[in-house]
Amino acid sequence: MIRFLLKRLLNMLPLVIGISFISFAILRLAPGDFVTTLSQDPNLSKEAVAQMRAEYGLDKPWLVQYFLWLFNALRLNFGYSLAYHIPVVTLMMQRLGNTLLLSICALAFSWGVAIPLGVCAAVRRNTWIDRFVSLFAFAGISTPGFFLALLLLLFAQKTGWFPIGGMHSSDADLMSPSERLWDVARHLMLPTLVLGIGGCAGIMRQMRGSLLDTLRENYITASRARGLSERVVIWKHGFRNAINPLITIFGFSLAGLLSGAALVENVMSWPGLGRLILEAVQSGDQYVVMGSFVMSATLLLLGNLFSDVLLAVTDPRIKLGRG
Amino acid sequence: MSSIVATRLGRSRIALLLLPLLMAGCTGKSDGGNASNGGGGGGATPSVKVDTAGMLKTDATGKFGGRFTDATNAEPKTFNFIISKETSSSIPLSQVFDGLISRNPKTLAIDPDLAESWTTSPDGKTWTFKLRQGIKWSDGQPFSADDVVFTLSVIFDEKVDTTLRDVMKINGKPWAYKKIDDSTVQIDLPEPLGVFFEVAQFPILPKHKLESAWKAGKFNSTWGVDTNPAELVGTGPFTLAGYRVGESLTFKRNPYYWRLDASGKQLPFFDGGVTQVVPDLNTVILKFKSKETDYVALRPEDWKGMQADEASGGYKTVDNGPTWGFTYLGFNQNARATAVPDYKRAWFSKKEFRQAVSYAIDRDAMVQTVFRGLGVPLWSPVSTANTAFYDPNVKKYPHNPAMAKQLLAGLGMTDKSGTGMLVDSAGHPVEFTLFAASGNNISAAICTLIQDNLKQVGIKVDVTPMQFNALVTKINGSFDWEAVVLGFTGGVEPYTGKSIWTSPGRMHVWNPQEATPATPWEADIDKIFAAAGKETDTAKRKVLYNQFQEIVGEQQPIIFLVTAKSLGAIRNRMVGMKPNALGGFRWNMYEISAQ
Repeated sequence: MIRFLLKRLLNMLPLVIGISFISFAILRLAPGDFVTTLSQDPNLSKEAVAQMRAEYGLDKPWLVQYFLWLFNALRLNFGYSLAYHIPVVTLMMQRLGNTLLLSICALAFSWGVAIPLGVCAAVRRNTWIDRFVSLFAFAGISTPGFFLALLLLLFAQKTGWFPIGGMHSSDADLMSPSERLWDVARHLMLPTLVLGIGGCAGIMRQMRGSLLDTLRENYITASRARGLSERVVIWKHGFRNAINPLITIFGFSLAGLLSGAALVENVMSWPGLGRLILEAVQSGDQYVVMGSFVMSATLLLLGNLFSDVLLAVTDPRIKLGRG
Repeated sequence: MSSIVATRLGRSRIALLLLPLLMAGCTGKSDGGNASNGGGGGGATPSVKVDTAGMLKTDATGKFGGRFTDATNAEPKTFNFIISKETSSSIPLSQVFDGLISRNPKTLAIDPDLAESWTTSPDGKTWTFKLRQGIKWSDGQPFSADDVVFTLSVIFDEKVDTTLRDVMKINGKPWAYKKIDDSTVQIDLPEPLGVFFEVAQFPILPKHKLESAWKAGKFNSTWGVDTNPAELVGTGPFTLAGYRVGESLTFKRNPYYWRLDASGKQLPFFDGGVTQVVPDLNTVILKFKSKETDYVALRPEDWKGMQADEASGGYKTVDNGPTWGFTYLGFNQNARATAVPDYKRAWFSKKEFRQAVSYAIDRDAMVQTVFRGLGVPLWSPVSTANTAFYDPNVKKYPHNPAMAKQLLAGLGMTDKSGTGMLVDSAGHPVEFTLFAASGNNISAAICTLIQDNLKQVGIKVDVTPMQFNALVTKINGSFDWEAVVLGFTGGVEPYTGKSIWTSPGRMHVWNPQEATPATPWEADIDKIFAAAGKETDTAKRKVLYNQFQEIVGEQQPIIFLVTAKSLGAIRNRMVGMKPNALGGFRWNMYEISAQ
């Protein structure tokens, strides 16, 4: 097991480097760079623009820029943001907590809602409950997150039940700690709902399909024939066998934990990483973009590894590190 | 909130970083108020004993206490004013820092800020600033000439990443400056500069807080957004009390602020305030509607709905008149543009062709459809709102398709095929590709109208939206473009647009960085700008600017289109707000109060 983990972790390194190379190439082959927008200020002379480009290291060929970055990144120095003049790691750490808070809530919401609903839909296949749950799932998939966010904000403004975006009220600095906790919770509800509903549909359909397949197996019929209660049949024999593909999905969804949801964060004014990254991509703040790519890629690979380990734990048929 | 233009024109908008000034040679109006103790009436203010002797008494009246709340659509990138390059940093920081002087966006006059008065030598090269005495930084340290000299040294340090330096240098030469005594600074310019006040509005930073970082070569990364706000020491009405990253800035009263109200009490009226970062414009308006903010800038499409709810919402809508920027249609007239067919460049270089296009465009319809009537047609690079320098005699091009056709016929462009579309004398169909920044509804709508207007006179236009950076690379670098719709923001002094209008200019859109002026009228504009740069007499500068506007009006090097009005809504509890298109809503926060 330990050997397997070590091997997988070591394999990740070249993979992340490869991903970073491709990302950087795509980033730099697009026309313009961070200075292009700034250079539209008519007050700046040609020399000043050239000086700025040299200072940011953007005058070197992009391959040189990449290897300089890589060399530093391998020593865990991810460089400075061109826009903020502070280290990329500091910049990202400032928002990490906010994004984690929101995405963990959204993840919990979508799994908490989707698994029971998916099981319910599978067990009562083709009843009105199944159809209603499917309708809900498809509506969730087909409504763009930012649009749902805007609709919910309109709802909040009309009813006054929820704050209009953000993470704290404007007078949060005058609140007691318990009031502030409640304040954050109130601000969390709408974005959690938006992101959660978006994530629900896929998981729910997967759960339903997987459980339906399992319920057709002979051992389910056999368990029923043994006179086991329906609850034991579904949850102990059906569900445990049907959960494997979902564990893989869960691993993948860990990668999304930190990349955030830029559009929803924008509409909901949530101070998360997604907005930072989107802005960095748009303005060509390349080391921030690279930092976030490396983080997402690493998380994706770790999530993958995590789900493999989880599979081995839940399913005795799977053994890691052999063959 | 002046960034509403930025959002609407997308990044096609160019920020003129320094606010230009109007009255060169004006001496400071200082009536130093003598009052016992400021301190303010706000209960929450720290009780600091402040000597108000050197402070500036104003006629502001209002109730002390309370907080303001507003929203900005982008977060600050740095708290270091000198290296900040975007309004999302400089707007909140202008509450915390002051310059020697500033221009009042309402009256367009110069206000003395940290400088109480100034004199200039007859040759216009030496400027002596007398500083307000007894002023303290927000941490209680005295403000002096050393801070001004320190700030100038930082700005002119080539290692400091600031766009101010290039604006302030004159023909590439830095200023000389020295401290005469604790309250006097002398600046020696390498050459006289007509628009000196324009560039003398840089913010003053505290030497005692920043000198060690600067000496250690770390100025660029000092006072980033990860700084403890208590470190930010300024002379402005407020200090930064807290920053929630990407979310909100909290301000509190600066107990040492140097302006007094009518009764001699220390301003500002508010104990503090909160500026929330709200990137989405729809959300900004919803926040205002649910009474979370005190004022909001509006887009034309929000106007009607917001007007209808005035009474129930407890606010008033305000129309600040036209904004100071302009949108334009430009044609590539650059001989180095090998990607553009020669015959097309020959059309674009003809004055009559550009005039015909200008006549063909229905700007009134553009204002109606793009801005819902809440805008104005443009004829000059100087906004009609610029009462100081707008030339009403500039040539205008009211919608006149017949005139356009006549001008085009004069160039040999006629409808030979009978399809209504023109061909030139060599048989080339008259058509061009029009680029615009993608993701920008305003320019998309403008392009559609241009396409329609020009079809009526027989010119075919293909509209191609393009990502902004890619577009700029084409315009400044590869010259691979035929026509473009973009925008610029404007300031009071047309001289700030030097790089757009003079032929060696980097932003001389239609033919950038010419070695020698390609046309006689471009040579004339170069001469006018050279003269205006040295001319310290405002009246004489106005004459020069009029000549410039008349040449541009006649030649139409770029065709001016329309500009939106600056609109907003203010909650009824607010007192003393003087919003306008140039200064925005919060420029005079020190004298704003709440009922």
